Amino acid sequence: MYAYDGLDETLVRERATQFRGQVARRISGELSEDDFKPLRLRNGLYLQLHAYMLRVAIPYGVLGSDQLRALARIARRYDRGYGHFTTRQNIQFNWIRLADTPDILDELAAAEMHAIQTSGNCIRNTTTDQFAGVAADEIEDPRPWAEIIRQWSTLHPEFSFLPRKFKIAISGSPSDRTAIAVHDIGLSMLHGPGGETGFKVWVGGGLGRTPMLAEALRDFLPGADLLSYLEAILRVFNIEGRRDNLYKSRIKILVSTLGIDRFRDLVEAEWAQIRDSALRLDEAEVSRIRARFSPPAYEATAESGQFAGRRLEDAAFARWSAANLFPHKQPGYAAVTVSLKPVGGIPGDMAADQMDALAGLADEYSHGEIRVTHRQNLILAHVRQDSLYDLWRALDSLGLATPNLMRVTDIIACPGLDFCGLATARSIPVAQRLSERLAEIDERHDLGELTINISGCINSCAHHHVGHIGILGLEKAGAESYQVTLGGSSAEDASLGKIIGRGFGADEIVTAIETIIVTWLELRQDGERFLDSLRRIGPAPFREALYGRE
Amino acid sequence: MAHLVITGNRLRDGAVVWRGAAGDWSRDIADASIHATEGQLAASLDTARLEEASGRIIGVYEVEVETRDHGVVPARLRERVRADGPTVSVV
Amino acid sequence: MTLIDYGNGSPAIAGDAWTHVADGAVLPPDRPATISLERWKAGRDGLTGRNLPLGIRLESHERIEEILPDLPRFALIALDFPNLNDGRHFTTARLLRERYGFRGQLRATGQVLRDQIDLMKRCGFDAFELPAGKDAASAIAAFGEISVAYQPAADAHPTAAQLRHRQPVQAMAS
Ligand code: SF4
Repeated sequence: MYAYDGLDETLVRERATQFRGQVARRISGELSEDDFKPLRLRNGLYLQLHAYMLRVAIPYGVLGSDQLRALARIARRYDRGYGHFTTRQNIQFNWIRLADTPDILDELAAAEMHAIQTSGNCIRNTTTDQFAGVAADEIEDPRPWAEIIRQWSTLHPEFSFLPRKFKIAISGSPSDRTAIAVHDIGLSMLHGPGGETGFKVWVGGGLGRTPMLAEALRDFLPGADLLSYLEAILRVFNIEGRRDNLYKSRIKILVSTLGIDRFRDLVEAEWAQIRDSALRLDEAEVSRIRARFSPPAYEATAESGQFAGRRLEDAAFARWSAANLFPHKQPGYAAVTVSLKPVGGIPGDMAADQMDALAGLADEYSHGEIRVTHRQNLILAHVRQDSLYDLWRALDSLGLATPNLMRVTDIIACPGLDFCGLATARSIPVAQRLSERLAEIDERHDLGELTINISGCINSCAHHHVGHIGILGLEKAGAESYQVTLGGSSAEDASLGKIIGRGFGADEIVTAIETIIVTWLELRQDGERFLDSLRRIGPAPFREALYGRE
Repeated sequence: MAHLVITGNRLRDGAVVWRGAAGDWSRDIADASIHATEGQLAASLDTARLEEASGRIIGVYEVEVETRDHGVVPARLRERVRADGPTVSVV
Repeated sequence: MTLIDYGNGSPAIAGDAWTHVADGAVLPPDRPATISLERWKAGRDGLTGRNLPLGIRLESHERIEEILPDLPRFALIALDFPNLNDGRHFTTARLLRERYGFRGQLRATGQVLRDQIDLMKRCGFDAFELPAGKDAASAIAAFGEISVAYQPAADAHPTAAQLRHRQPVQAMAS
């Protein structure tokens, strides 16, 4: 993984010092809250319902074991002993005191971490495939490119006060695990005409109040031109994007207003001016960064018979293996998903003790590296198959081995009204009750891949529009009301879910989702996925089961 | 007029606080001073906003409450969550 | 208002030789003056005889591209920041310096916050009007708080990548 050199380290330390000064000026009264708020927001510090929340960047979701230990230390020392992993592959601490934040940033800096641009109207953490460098279908490891984007976008002087926040995702594989279609810019790697690697560029995707899927902007962009092209897009957005209406200020609105062809003309015209500038990537720098992501020293092991044997002997291990393992391009290895979705638990939450223990397991079994997924789980990416059984037992004893990746209990949920100042309804308790109710049905009927996403307001942090089943919590006449969408997907077959009908109260929503699933089971053919059944038969049977023949 | 109390968050730690009769800020909504008339509320809000400007408290606003057997309870769920903490127990 | 001048590469509080003249008001006969873009577009004929330096002010939605051929006429361009959410003129500034070759004073006006100055400087601004009541010493201390630049901009600051791969300079024999 990337390791800071002196320049990276200096920048992060100077930024922490700068923020210390800003906090001091706020506490002394020199800065008013109105002046301070945009400053703290540019550094991941929100005021939530009960305390400040600090969002720490985990660039493209990659963590070293010592970094995870540093997060555990911060959770214990400055928070209530836990953290919450987000759909942007970051971590949030929910119980932070303003006066402590400068010390926290210093501790983060010492571990090569920061909170820069984890909020505010700037370029946010670039997300990528949690199986980068591991997936067999990968064209190229996207992480070096994500790091190049991280550096370019960090404290960018021109793009620090954009019309609205800006999110970039980059995928190195044809199968998309990064939800490219719902990002402001999506980059998917491919081979160009001459065999060189580059990107297909997508623009204008996003969720929120006006969900839209991204449109193709450029079929092939050579790797060396990545930054000049991004700069051209951002420049057009900075000048042309709307600033008069918060809900119309994302780039998706600009793209849909201008039309993709006109937007492309503007970008290409700007790009022509800056393509041959200092933004062109220097091969020496690309190589330097790439070298940081070279694969760990795998041992040549034949596929392990022991692994197969254990699965035969131990049904629980077999179930976990079937659900939470991802094939590794290195024979004899697997990538393991560490579930942060225990049945009845809070999606994405992790206790400091679990962090420390997992850091130890990462050192022992996976070259000291941990990854955060946009499903709010963690990954140990390089585990020998003959170690899987021991690892599983260790994870199980920590409560981190729920066998449910992409299954009905692997629910994505935002903090909702229990913590978030913008929320209109709670999401966590709904997720907890749903997973308890559905775990049993899944065990009996093997529901296969079925994703549920729950957002506590229209900001859609839990991406409910792209859950196979999406739930949006609203406030109706003073009470919580949950709107259900069906048919979303964030994979390469991306689609936005459609609202099934009127919303459900807090005491009805779990039963409503159960009704949908029970209805589906009667219509399901040959073990197909819920999403495929829905695409085959349409929403009518579900509507009828929920609302009768109205 | 509905009964109203005044709330905000403490600058230093973001904690939820409620404004008492003596102009003090308490972590406990039970200590909040209850306003039954527009005039009372307007006067308290004005002073509370001055304290906000001086920087100790941020985001001052009024909250509608009902008086129940066991004490004062905000009308909206959002404010009940602020008063009582998250409805879920954390890890 | 306090003016911070960065014209010679080190920030200092400076006296302001310029007057911002409102639309409709008479230009001072003895001092350099700035006028609005609108006034320039409407009545430049009346201004052409003047023998004193002229400056132009742009609001945040106004585009310098409208008057590119006139740029050589201006010794100063003032770009306004109405609030912290409007960052359009960060782009305008870079284009003026990097693309349109503007060499005069580039001045940030409006809600110029201490904590934006470093970024403005990188975009090519070299003068900053601090709003009334803001601490000038504190603003001067903001220059160079961040010494590392990851991306090329309008200033001469070498990027991190350039520093990493710079060829060692051969020592000249003296
Ligand atoms: S979706 Fe709404 S409630 Fe949930 S975290 Fe985002 S802003 Fe908060």
